Amino acid sequence: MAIPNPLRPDDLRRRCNPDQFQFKSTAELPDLEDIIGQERAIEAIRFGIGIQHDGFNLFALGPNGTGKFTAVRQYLTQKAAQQPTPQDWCYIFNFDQPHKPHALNLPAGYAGKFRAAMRQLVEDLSTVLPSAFASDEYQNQKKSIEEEFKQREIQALDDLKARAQEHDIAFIRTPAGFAFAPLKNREVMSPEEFMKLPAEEQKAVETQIQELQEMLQGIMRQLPQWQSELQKRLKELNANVAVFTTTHLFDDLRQKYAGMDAVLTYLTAVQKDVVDNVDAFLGTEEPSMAAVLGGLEKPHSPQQITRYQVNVIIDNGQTQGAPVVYEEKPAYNNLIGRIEHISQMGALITDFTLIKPGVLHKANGGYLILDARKVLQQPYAWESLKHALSAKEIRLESLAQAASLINTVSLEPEPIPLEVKVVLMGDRELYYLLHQYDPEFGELFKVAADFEDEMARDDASNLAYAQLIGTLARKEELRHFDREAVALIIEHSARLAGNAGKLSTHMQSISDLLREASYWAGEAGREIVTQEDVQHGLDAQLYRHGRIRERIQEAIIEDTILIDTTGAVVGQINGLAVYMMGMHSFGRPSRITARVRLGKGEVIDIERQVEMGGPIHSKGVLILSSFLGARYAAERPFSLSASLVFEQSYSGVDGDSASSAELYALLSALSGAPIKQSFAVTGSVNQNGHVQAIGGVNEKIEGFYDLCRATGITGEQGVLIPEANVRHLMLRHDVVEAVSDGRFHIYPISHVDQGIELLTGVPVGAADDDGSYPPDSINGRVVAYLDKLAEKQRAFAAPPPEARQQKQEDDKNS
Amino acid sequence: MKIQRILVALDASPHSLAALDTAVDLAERLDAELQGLFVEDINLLRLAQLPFARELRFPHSTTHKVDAPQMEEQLRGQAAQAQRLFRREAERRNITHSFTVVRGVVAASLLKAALESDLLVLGRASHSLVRTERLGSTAQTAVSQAERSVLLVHPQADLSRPPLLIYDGSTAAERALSMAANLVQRNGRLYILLYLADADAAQAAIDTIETQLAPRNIEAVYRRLYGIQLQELIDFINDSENSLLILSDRYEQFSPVVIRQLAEKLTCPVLVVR
Repeated sequence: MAIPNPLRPDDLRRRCNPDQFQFKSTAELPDLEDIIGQERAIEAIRFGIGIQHDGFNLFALGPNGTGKFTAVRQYLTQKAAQQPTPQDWCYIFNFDQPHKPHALNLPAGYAGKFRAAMRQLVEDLSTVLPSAFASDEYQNQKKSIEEEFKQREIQALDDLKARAQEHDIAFIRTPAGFAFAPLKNREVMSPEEFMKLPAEEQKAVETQIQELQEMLQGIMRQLPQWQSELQKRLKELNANVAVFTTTHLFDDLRQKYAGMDAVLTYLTAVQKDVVDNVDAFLGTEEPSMAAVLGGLEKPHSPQQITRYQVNVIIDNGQTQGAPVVYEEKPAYNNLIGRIEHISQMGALITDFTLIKPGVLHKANGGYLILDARKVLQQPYAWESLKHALSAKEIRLESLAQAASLINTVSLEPEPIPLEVKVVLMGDRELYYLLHQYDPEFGELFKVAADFEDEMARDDASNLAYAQLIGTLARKEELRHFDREAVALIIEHSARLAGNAGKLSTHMQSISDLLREASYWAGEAGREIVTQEDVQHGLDAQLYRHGRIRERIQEAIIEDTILIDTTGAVVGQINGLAVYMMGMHSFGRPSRITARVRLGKGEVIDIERQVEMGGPIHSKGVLILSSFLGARYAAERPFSLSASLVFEQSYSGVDGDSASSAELYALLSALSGAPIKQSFAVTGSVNQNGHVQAIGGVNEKIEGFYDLCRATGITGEQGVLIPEANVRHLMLRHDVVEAVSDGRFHIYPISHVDQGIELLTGVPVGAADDDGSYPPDSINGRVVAYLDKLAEKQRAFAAPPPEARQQKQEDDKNS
Repeated sequence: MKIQRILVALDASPHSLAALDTAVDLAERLDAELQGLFVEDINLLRLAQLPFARELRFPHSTTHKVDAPQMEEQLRGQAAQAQRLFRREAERRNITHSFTVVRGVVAASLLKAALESDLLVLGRASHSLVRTERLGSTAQTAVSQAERSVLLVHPQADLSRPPLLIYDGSTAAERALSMAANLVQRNGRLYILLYLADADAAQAAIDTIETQLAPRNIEAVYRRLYGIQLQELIDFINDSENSLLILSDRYEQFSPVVIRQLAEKLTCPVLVVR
């Protein structure tokens, strides 16, 4: 197979020509209105926001930094501005069941007014009622009722006393009660005098006294009845006075809120309650111990009357259009709201005024944006969010109550109906996990807005990118960029995307670069950021993150890590590995060696043996073994043992990007043809020997180049890469220059036959009609070696000559 | 009229406690001796001895048998309690005091004992079944028959305020004025209601009064009223917030019935001077 030509400089870094731009600096460009490069996601967002059916909430998935939040918020804000402002909601006292406060809705902006109106009402009642009850008219009426009853009591007793007197019997107060006794000369009769009386008279006296006692008993029984009748009459009087006094206040309010039935119902209930509890306004009640000791309220103050307050939960008086809310910390309390408690004399109490809203309330009628991971991390938040969305209501419950952890006074506020569209943002893995394991997720979050990592690179997108840079510069108050700087940034974006034909949509990285470049421009005293500043930024980043890379290179140069960049060795090759540390990756060469010996046909992957090789790596080794087996041992024994290892690798290997290098090493060991150490190789191989694409090709090439530069460029060094990776190349300028000067070479390989020839300088050899290879070709030499080994194998397996003869004799004799 | 000895009638009722408070207060002001009297009601004892005697207890309206020993013991107990309270209050104020228990008809015993003192202090009523402002029988008897001055106490008495004297120019009024002057502290103030028909008589009365009061440096505040309805007078006196009302039962315009009504309706104590 023909060796491919090395790549030309133009293939190594697809340039962005600044001349394509009409502008001199980004200051001349208008702001970018739309998000770039996310057509799929934007379509999904538009659809998700537009459709009204239940369950069509959104999940914006994609890596962080790709502008999910910006995109989502921008579209939501635009749409929300044209939608109607939602209603206000408040909680009010439920007179029938105080522990279940009612929810009351009012047109937007009215809740605050209603609250103020109720406050005013209470104040008015606090002045109007006491003066009505202090008035002479009331006092007189009260006195006359009390007099009436007192008279009744006195009259009854007087009648009794008179009756007693008629019969000369005294009505006497005793220490413990009352008694009747016969009189003589206005004094109680002594027993002797009584005995002197004739029998009938005695009897008459006793009977009379008995009658009087019964009368007295009758009166004593009646007294409590009369008392309660009196109380009832007084209560009626109070109620009438209260109603009469307060009617005009309530009628005024009723007029203001005519047509709002819920408010009118409430006002009626309030009026009834006021009438029933007039004492609270008169300050005649003793303040409860609890209230005074708790220091909560001044006794006898209108503030003590909290039950007529209005707790405004959602006030949309200032909102324009529908609300768009983003919650930074979606804890259960912040999402659903909470019911607070106050400690009073050691117990926890609460009332409807202590209900506090959450973001679901604020976003009701609009949109809520949340970070999915944060929601999942907060206990109970995810469950409650889902519940609220599927039940379409916000039901407030103290968390501790729900978990039956506390048993204090608590509330069950009437749930508020919920109309909201939720947009969750998260990474892709999270989305798919939720989809897989949470059955409710799919029912509630039907719209996925999938954000890309990369976008197409063409003239239109170049211009859009330039506009983006200008927009960001303006927004963050950075210096503007000249067109050469823009071109460099675009090239870097392609490098970030890992593909010459794409641009990265990872806005965060780009913005960070812009900020840094603007800074360097400032340090250099420039008002416009130039290419030099951008490059400075890139170099500075590399330098800041380059400690490990430099240490490794040092170790290689000092031979602590053994890598050759010149000469040729059998069974040894430079593989290439890429290290990812945080945001930065770099490549470094790794020595791979292969040894062979007589054996039973196995290729031992030493990394796998010691469990330092990952499964993908092991798979790669197995694949190359089958290639070998298929090519060379299809019809002959494979009597060898081969072992492969990544020398001086102590921290594990995975990925199959080195499987072609491993194969070359084996072929070299089998054929005895030495491999040029001036090359480094990357690429994975399949069972047919085709070389497949790998990742991190730019870093790998640069890693080997940097080492060669440090040890001394010979002009013969280079890297073999899979052809399929050519479109991913966006190499550094200095590498491109070296290739341009012919000091470094990069070869695109599509099949191992190309590679082995290039590496050894020995032709690989084509099979003739018999299936034999030319003896001096790689294939031929491998086959010869295998035959030799097979022969040896047979020889060792056969018994020694004397024993053979003996056996023959034994066979003859038996 | 100098008051050297005050007699206070005590039973176990709240009214008599009020009487005790007032009596002690007065005794301290006037530097007088105080005598406490508890009457064991003979009628109660006789009642207890009657074979068919039953007691109705409030509020249960159940009847219980009473017997003499029980009654004796109850009365003894009440006497002891009254004595305890009396002693405590008197000793606290450093007043010369003595306490007596007699057995007999209550009103008669009181009136008899009163003969040995200058002023009788008692409550308006004993325990009653019904809250009423009516004077009890003992109080009524005392007001109409006592031969000494009687002070009918009111629970809300505030003796630090100036008293109010009704003066009609008669000899009785002179005595009442003398009593009033004794009651007012030196440099104090006395309110005087001149119950006289014409202005000249009033002026003459004022002159007389001033001569009496000047030596003690008592300031008098005068008001003239005549021929008004009883209720109006009652309202006027209640509104004026004086510490007590002083008058005599010998006034022409003030019969015992009127005085009784005054005593029932006023919210301050009433001192009937004899």
